Amino acid sequence: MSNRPVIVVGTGRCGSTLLSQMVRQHPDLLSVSEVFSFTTDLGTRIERAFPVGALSGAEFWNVLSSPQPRQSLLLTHGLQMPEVIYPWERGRFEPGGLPPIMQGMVPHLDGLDPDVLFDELAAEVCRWDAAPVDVHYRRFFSDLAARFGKRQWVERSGGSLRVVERLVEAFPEAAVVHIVRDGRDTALSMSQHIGFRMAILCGFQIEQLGVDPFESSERTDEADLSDELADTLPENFTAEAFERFDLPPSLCGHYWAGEIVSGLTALEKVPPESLLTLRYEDLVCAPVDTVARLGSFIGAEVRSDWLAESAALVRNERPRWPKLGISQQEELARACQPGFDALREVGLRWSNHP
Amino acid sequence: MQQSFSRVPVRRARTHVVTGGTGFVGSALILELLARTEGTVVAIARPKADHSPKERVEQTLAELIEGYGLPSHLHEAVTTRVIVIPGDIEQVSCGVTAASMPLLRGAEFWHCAASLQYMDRHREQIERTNVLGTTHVVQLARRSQSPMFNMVSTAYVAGSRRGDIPAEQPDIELVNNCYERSKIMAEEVVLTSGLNARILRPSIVIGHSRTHHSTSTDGLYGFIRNLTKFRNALERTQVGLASTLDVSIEVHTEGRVDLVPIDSVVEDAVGLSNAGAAPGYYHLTNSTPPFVKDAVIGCFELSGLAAPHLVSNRDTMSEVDLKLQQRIDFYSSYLINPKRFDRSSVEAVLGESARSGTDLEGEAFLEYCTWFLDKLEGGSRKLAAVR
Repeated sequence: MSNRPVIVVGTGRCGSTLLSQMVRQHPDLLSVSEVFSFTTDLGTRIERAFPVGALSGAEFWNVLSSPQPRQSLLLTHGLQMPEVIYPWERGRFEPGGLPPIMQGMVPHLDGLDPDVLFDELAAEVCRWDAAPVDVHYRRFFSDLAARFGKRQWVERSGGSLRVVERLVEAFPEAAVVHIVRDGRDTALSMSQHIGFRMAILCGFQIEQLGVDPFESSERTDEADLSDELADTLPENFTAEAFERFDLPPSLCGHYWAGEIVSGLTALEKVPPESLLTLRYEDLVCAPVDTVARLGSFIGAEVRSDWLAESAALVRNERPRWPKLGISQQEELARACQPGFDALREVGLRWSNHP
Repeated sequence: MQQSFSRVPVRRARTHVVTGGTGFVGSALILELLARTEGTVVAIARPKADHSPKERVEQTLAELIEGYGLPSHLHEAVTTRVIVIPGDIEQVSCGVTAASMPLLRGAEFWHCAASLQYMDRHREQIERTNVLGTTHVVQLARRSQSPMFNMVSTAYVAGSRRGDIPAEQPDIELVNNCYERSKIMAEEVVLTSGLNARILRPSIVIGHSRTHHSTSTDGLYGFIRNLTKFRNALERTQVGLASTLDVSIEVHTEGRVDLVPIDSVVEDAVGLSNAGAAPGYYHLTNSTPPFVKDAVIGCFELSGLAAPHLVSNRDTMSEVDLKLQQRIDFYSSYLINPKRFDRSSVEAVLGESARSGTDLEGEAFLEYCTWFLDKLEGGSRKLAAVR
């Protein structure tokens, strides 16, 4: 048995949640979910999750627990991602002030009374001496593993390929699992997912305004915003306007391809023996073999009950992209092509893609 | 080529009242009036952000004398012949106090102040500034017993009309947006006021023909700025995408887009005044504007985008093309509805001395774009997509 840290990375909407659920079935593995998705405010404030220099325990706790503007806005307007599992009916936090680790991570570990665990963690972490952020993260995850009687932690955050360079720097000893899925299905899913829609929408707003509307009240270039971007500024935001925002699958296809190309480049820094790339489609079609590969790679005991429980989590989902119209399919495929090309270079192909 | 702002003053010392004196056209007009008339120029301006109206106007004019490469003696003319009075066109009689009224008596008015916004969501503000504001300036001109009211409108009140555009009353049903609608409504306010009025209609005004300097961020510059932002959005989506993505844009490939340098506009405008031109419509446009296709391709390339496919309709556009189209929709009407503006009313008055714009075919046009992009990139607030 190993106690080596494990980092799961992917573009998001690529099946990493399923992988996380499978990890959670293993008695020796602590599945830590979505820490970097939410501490970076959906990938839009990456620097705040990885501050430079030493920070006190209290400052690190602030990284983990300060509510983030985009998530707070979404939740305030009733726009809740499936990844957010905080039990509102039992907890004390309100939608406008939910700490990042309370969105998914803590409720996953203690679904009954996450507030208690949150308070215990706060008391503990705030006592820590100053240290670089990677030291804090490592200690935080290791302490959690010990608290729950696990040997090894596995962190998995949706869309973490965007921060893979930071993760590899922070955890050079980690085993890295890269999960990939057909870009067409990934992109289509992104175009409908609240978190990705928010992240991409904000990117457009930032470019049109010249400032981050969540960080600055300057609106000099407001006239350059299309109506859909103006209607979704923080001060104008409504759930209806957010749902009206038109995010074509092909645009997400370009995004997916970009994430894959730059992510693979960043992963070149990981020693080959420390990197495992899994296809989501293999996880679904051949879960037992694929989970066994994962277990062997990370040094976990490959138990038959674990494999069976993991396989039972799989739902037989067909690809959704073929339901698009022909021209939309073609446009989506063209958009994804650079990503497919890059994946082919590392030996990954999809049978129904040229 | 004739040089703007450089002629010897020829008209008697009539006072001129200018609104919008810190704006693109109004400020250039003041300098032209200083250069070519002998009278006092009264600028009506608002205070703003810790600057008095006087400070704003004088600072704007001082910068433009340098930016346009004008004779330095104009600095002294600004000091001695420009009177700035506080006012706001959104107030009755522009909020000009009774004490200031004697300064305006018998003056020729130049109404340049306007909102250049065009989105429907800004409609209320646009109409407040452009229509109600014009009503207030007209009130003030009548109280001042103004002998002539020059209203700076836009040649693009022609809306979606194509081909030869006579200088006449436009059809409000053909407007493309609420900006054009507001300018037609403002023209109507002036024409029904009982004042002697010239409706001056510049096309898309760009920088100075010699230095390319511009204080405008609208029109051509808004188009370029939005292309640049689109490029940045593509790069944020995928590094390298902007220079590789095939984008289609809807244009009329044989048409021209009427861009006219600021010095041409004010030279013709003051020329009409000095010549005592009759009330009526005047197109202050360019006889040799660039072709739409050349302008669009040039703007794309200078903005760091791959050369676009020029298409005649949106039927074959991709989802990403339509996103771009959404961003530049305001400019689209200039690209798909080519116009040739009839300048005969200007030429009938000015004859040989009519400026007729500047030849903007080929490389000449790109120099204006490059000047603006240098300025834009120099002051860029672009935020990197952090990884």
